[in-house]
Order: sequence, then C-alpha cells, then structure tokens
Amino acid sequence: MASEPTKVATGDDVQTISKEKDAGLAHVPSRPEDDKLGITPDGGEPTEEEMQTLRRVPDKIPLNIYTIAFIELCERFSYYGTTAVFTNFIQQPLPPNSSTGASGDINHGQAGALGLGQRTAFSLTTFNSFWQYTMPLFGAYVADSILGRYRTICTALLVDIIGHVLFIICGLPPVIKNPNGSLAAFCLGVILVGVGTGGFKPNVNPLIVEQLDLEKMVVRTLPTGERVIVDPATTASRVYHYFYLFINIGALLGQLAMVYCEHYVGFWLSFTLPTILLCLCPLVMLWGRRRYRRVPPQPSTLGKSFKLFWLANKGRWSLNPVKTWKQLHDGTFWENVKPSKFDDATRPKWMDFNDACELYQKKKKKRSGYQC
Amino acid sequence: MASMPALYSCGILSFGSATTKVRTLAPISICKILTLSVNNNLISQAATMRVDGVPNDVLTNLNPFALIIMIPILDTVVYPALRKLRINPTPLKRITVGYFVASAAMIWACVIQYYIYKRSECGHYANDCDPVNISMWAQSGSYILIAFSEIMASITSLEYAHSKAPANMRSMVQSVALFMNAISSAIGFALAPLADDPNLIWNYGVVAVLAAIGGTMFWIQFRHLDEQEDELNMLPTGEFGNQAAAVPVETVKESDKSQA
Repeated sequence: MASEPTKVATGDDVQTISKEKDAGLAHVPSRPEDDKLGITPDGGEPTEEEMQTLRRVPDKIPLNIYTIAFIELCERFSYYGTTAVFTNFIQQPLPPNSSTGASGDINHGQAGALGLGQRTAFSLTTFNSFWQYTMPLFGAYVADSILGRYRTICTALLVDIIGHVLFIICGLPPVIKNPNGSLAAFCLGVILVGVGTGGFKPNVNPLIVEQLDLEKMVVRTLPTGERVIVDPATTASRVYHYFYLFINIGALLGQLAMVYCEHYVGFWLSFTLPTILLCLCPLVMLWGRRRYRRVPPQPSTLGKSFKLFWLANKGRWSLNPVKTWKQLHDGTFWENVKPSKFDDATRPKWMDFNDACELYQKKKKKRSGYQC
Repeated sequence: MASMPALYSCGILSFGSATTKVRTLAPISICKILTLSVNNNLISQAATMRVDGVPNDVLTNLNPFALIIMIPILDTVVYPALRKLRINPTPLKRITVGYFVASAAMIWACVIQYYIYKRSECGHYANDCDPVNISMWAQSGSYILIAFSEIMASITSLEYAHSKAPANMRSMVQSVALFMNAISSAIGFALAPLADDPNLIWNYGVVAVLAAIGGTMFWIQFRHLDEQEDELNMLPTGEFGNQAAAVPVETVKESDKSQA
C-alpha cells in the first residue's frame, strides 16, 4: 500500500475533464518539444508506453448518475422492505387482540396475518425469488429491442407501484380478516412486482453507464503537475461501486425498518412506506426525461447471433472432451465464421452482412437502420 | 482466442465479446453459490451460540452494513494506492481475489464450527444441546469477508454493462447475470439438506477448498484476457446494429428526420 493513502485520495478527483473534453485536441497548445519526446498532449490518446507508466484515474461523475442511483435505492428499499415481512405475513396467524398483525414486541412476540403455515410461506417466497430473477430476461428483451431502456423502466415502475398498492390492500385490517381474499390479492401483487422488477433491474445498470461522457482513455495533467490517464473503465468501476453502495443502503434500511413497522404498527405500514419511496422513482424519471441520454432500441439481432454462434460451434465438438476443448480454443472460433470466409455459394442465407457489418444488398432502410 | 482483438473491430463479431463476458459470468455465480449456500447455514450456526438476547438472524444485517463501510474505503484509499503502484485492479483480478476471500470466509466459519463441536456437551450434535458459550458475534468475520468477496465479484458483474457488448445487448447481459442468481439459489436449495450435524465442519471446509480451487482455475483460464484488458477497452463500441453508441435525445431525433 502507498505510504500516504489520504494524499492519494485527494489527488484522484478530476473535476474539469468532462467539460474540457469537448474542446478536444484542437485547443490544446502542443509544444514542439512534446512531439519529439512522444508525449501526448492533454486530451490525446495515450501511447502504449504511457498506458504502462501513467496512473489511471476516474473521470468526474455527472449528476444524472446520482439520480439514477437514488432511483435504484428507492426500488431496492421497496423490494427488500416488503419481502422482509413476507414470511411472517403468510405463515403466522394474527396475534391475539390484533387487527393489524402487529405483535407489539420485536424480541418475543410473533407478528403474523394469514396463518397459512410454513409450506405455503416457503412456496410463495421461493416462487417470488425465482420470478424476480426470470422476468429480467423478458424486461431486457423489451428494452433492447422494442421500447428502449428509459421507457421500459418507466412502464415497469408503474406496474411495480400497482403491485405494491395491492400489498397495502392485503395488509389493511378489514382485508386481513379474510385470508383467502387477502391471499389472492397478495399473489397478484407478487406477480406484478416481479414483472416490474424484471423491467427495471436489468435496464438500470446500462442506463447508468450510458450517462458517462468519456468513451476513450485520455491523457490529462493534474493541478499537481502529474500526468495521468483518465480511464472510462476506471470511471465505470467507481460508478458501480457506489451504485452497489446505494443498493445496500436501500436494502438495509428497508429490511430493518419494515420489520419494526410490522411488529409495532402492523403490516399495512410495512407495505405503505416502501410504496411511498417507490413513488419517488417516476418523479425522478420525469426529471430526467430530457436530461438522461438515451440509446434507441434496435430490432433484436439475437436470432442472428445465435445462428452465428451455432455455425462457429459446428464441427468442433467430439466425443473426446480434450479434442472438443482444443477445437473450441484453437483461436479460429470467430475467425472462421467471418462473412469473408464464405463465397456466394456457401454463405448461409441469413448472413446478409460483410466483415465490417455493412449490408450486401441495400434494400430499403428499415425503421432504425439495419442491424448486423 | 488470440485473434479476439482483431475481431472486435468487426461489428457482428462483437457478439464474441459479449459471449466472452457472459462466459466469465458463470464462474462469478459459482463464487456466489458458494457464499449464498453458506449464508443460511450461518444463521443456524448462530442458533447454537450465545446470542445475548438478540435474534439469531440479526448478524445477516452485518453484510450490507460492511458493504456500506468498505466500498468508500476501497474506492478512496485502496484502489488509488494500488493504481499509484501501477497495479490496475481490473475486473478479472478482482473476481480472482473474490474467490480467495470467499474461501477465507468459509475457513473462518469452519474454525468457529470446530470450536462449537469441541465445547458442546453433545459434541458433533451441537444442535441437540444448549448453546455453547461462544458469542455469535464471533461470526462477524465470516460476514465481513463475504461482503468483501461480494464487492470483488458481484460489482464486477455489474461493470459488464460497460463492456463493449453491442448497445442492444447490454440489458441482455445484465439479465443473464440476474438469471444466474436464480440458478445459484436453486443449487443452494438443493445442497441445503447436506448441511447438518455432524458434518458441518466438512460442509464449510469443502466449500473453502472449492472456492480456492475455483479462484486458481479462473485465473489460469482468463489470465490472457486480463493482459488484453486495455486493448479491448480502447476498441470502439461494438456495433451490432446501426450507430449503437449512446446519442443524446436531440441528436437521435435529427438523425431520424434525416433518414425519413
């Protein structure tokens, strides 16, 4: 470790780079002696040697990213806060003299509502976690190919909120009294929240990274005179570290606080507070309507990708695992399926692009340009 | 895969880059299975320890708590210091470290289990007797190490959103990462019945060994990609479609007009 860690930390912030970046190379006075020595001026791409010797630093993190991280915090608060009380809600019966499910004592009492037993509770919570992890496949497809990330997230948030409102209804004292009706609303809630999470989770991470300005490494001189490389990968890494921090703040607050609400006030509050926080998300998204950078969706190329992958695998598999391994790793896996390796007779019909991904026959342009 | 960089410049084959990222996702989830499957066992382990009037699952909150404290320290102190020494903490290096830290967490749990069995009146059937006189806070080390391994492995899988995967496959890569979690927890469920008295020392020990072997294998298999890290990062964004790079809303509208 370095001897003066605090000093290192302060030297790490590059506050101005993204503003000046647009100015580009043209405005940087390049001194003739620099050119002779092979020193890249500020804003230029680092040379091979500079990549080995200069220190990497992250770029400044734009405000947009904090707002998206805040959305994620609220969403995780709502998810973990709600699921933290699921098991008690389904499994345990209403405590005596309670209409809200509250036990009044977190250490010795037992909060509960529907009293359906451990098996039902286990099946429902297990179904919930698998549903939460499968729906993202659907949400990602919709965002990548049809709606785009921004609109998918907005739609998903609305579905998510409806699901959470259903949970509140389940937890209201008059509804708890009727376990069957409450359970029906609860199951519908689980399904809707799963669809919401599926549209939200896989799209927030890419949306966040699309707000970063820097796309390539650039050389920059710090006020201390030290020359450094401002690195997009390092920036993304920092962003995701803090993103994960926000996720955990949301999760921790949600699961700690809602268990207290459940024991001292009742389930309706454990379901209402998460919903309130979740309702902040669409407001932030609205704020970002013109501010967030958006990548337009493109018709899916998944089918073509898998066809190519299948073609690349063809003839490389054998009953002998060692031979299979060697044939898969001989370095020509993707090389051999480049379109230029085929002639008009042997090229598969679906391969309508060349090595540089331009179309062979330019038919009329599709809605958002062609894919390859 | 030596020819990968050359192929990155070609759009369609940037699918290759996406699959490479996805290939490393599987080992990340194995790392997660190892830690997740143990998480529930640690709650049961606490039940055989002195709890001092606190619920035995309260320590699970230590995991997010440790994450919240450690992330800023890593970001502001540890990583800059490493970079100053010209050691770039690349994703592949961090995943490898994640495996070994997970292994250390299991060794910690294993040692505690050894002492529980040693001190319990029922020996290797500690669950049948009164809790032993070891505070459950002794488990803290396991939880903190698991949190550290999570920073190393899980955050890295988030960073793949920034990969050169084509723009219209970015969400897909993330959803596959999430789906891997489903598989991890399924395997966790399947293994749960095996973790019971009198085998608990073995249970933690085997996972520790598996994680250490996994980390070594992972590094051997993907080391060559780590050396190409810069090269791959410097290449233009894969275009598995039209102008795939992020464009501000206004620009998009203009280009739509020009196409029409």
